[in-house]
Amino acid sequence: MEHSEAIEIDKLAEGYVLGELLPEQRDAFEQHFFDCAECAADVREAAIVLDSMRSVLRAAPKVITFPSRATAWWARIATAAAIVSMSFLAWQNFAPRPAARIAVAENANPIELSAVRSETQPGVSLAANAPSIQRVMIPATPSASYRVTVRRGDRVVTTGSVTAEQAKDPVSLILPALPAGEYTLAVEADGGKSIGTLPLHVH
Amino acid sequence: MRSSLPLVNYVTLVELFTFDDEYVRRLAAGDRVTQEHFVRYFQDILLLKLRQRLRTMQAIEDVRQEVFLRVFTALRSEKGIRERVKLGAFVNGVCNNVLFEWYRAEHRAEPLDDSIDIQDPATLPDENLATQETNAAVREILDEIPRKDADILRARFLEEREKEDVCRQFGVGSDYLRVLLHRAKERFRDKYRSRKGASRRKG
Repeated sequence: MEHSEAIEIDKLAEGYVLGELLPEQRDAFEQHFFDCAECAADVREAAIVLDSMRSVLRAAPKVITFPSRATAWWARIATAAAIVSMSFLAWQNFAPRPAARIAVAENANPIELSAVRSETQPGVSLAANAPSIQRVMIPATPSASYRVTVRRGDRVVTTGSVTAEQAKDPVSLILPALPAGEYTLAVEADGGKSIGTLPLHVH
Repeated sequence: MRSSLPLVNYVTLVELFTFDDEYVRRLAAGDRVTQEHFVRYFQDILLLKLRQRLRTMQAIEDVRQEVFLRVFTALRSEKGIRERVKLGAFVNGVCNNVLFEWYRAEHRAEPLDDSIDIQDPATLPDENLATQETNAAVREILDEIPRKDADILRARFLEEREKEDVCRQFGVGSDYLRVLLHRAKERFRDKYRSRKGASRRKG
């Protein structure tokens, strides 16, 4: 790839660091920028910005909330309906206990969360592509805050934090619509100590 | 500049050196300044390439060290390298060879073609090019961009969702992330240069 060709291709450096180039173009561009200081600097700068974005975004985790601003209109209506019905179910079925547990919107019986699985946790079944609210009672610990994470395998799907003050009462975790699959909701105290986990079966 | 090789600020890079015969001669002769510049210049470029091929920092570091070892060995051999003005292309070629051998040693049969996994930029190995300064500049940029764009970046690089999934949810084209990164890079150049200018004036 010649330099004139490289600079003609729109946002080539960005495409490269984002891993969006086809293998042939990627290899040709690498062969070029290894010898071209100008293009190498462009790639490096794009990578610096990308790395900094990741660092900055991870330092300020997203609070779990719904609906997001980008949510489709149908999802907003579904959320409103879900909140109304879940609020009714929660009012009917929720009874506070000292141990952490999750009151499941679609399941009238609350499920206790346990950091040590002495028995198989059946988890919670949720509808795919629909928001949900999970109520959690976090047991009192010296932790100043708690991190709530929803993972799919090793990948973090969404995350948020709960302060110690908020954790004094049952916390409603508003989860975004999730595609079908197996997830794990985990609550960790400061220092990464597990408070409890719960499988989420999204169908 | 040829006789003295300046430390290059890659964020505001303007080419101040050339990999010409004199540079290669000094490198082959073991000139310390030239050698330090060479390693400093190519270690980041190799990082940019290798993190698209390898998943751990240990693997990246192993391959990178081997590349430098082979390049220096070749330069200091009687034959030297064939086309001295293509030093960068030579380094890239050596890197490709080392990668191929690494894959074979790791019992992976992928040749250097389109069957090699490109690392998802949302889940890159931990070493990155971000610094406190660059993070501060990018934090300002993220505060200034439209909220929808910030949500897209968060969904992709914090929540590590698939690009197609994010584009579908937010109703943007598949090249929109490239556009966002390009805009951020342009703003970053302005901010980072103005910060550098301010710090130089204070100093």
